[in-house]
Amino acid sequence: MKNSKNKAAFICILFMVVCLIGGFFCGRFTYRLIENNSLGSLKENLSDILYRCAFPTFFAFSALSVIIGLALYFSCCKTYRQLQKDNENDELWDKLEEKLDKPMIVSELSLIIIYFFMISAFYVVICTDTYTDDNIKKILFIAGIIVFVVFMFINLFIQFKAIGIEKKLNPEKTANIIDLKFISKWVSQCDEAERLIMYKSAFGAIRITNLVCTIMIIAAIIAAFLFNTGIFPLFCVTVIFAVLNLSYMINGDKAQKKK
Amino acid sequence: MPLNNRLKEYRAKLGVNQQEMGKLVQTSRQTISQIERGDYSPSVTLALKIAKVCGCTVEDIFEYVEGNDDEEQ
Repeated sequence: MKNSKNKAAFICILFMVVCLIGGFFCGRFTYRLIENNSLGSLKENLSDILYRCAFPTFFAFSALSVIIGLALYFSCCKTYRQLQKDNENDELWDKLEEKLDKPMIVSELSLIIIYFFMISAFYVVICTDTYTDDNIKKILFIAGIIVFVVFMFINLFIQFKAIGIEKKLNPEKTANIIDLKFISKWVSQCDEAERLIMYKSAFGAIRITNLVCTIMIIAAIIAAFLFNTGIFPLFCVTVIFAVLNLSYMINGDKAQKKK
Repeated sequence: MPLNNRLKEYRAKLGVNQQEMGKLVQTSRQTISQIERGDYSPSVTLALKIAKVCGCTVEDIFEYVEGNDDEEQ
């Protein structure tokens, strides 16, 4: 027991020392790069490439994500039709319930990433000199809005329909997706096993988000010094990190005091 | 998992499918399926409801096996 404690302490101290030494050398290297302005041309070339790729990436990603989402949804519909013919097949029930998660995940992720690409693309048109012709700027701007609206509605359609199938499989779930309190009503209609799955998923999400926030803070610091992005990105990530951990602790405290 | 169960057997005796069983014990079909597969151990309340619907005791349906807790850890 004492040996395992000593081993854990040794690994922890070693990890901190490695981070300290690594941080020192990274900082020194970054300072040298800034001093010599070694990244000057790299910054410009990289920015140029990223700005030119913004709109094509936005359009391509929107189309691809919707195609994948629709394919997954239609696969669920096919399994649902099989289930309607063979209602007593337990394996088919389980298969359909597992399948229904996939179009939901794809459409949810797609919505988030489409927002990002759309804002990035509009930033390129409005705030950079990538496109100098005013007509091209207008066309891209209008095309961007149309693409965003169309693909957003398709993704929402996929989510509505997937939840519709879920509600047919589980008639006790009556929460309406267009209701602002949909999530809390849906959770209140879930039974103990479903809630346990949600709680486990939420905990797993917190663990991963904590790790990602740590990495993003480091990335934001490096970007602030190397690419002059300012401290706003660092501020945003810090807020998310703080709110995540604080809300976890507060909710944990509430849950302990309940009953 | 720490519990072995014979829920599928008792459900077959009752002549109900998983969805109907879920309605009888006020839980979802998915939960009944997870219990039968051994992927989920029901709460005391749910176990008592299941036993009542099946017309037997909780111990008739669920069996705690020593040593399975250690395997789970």
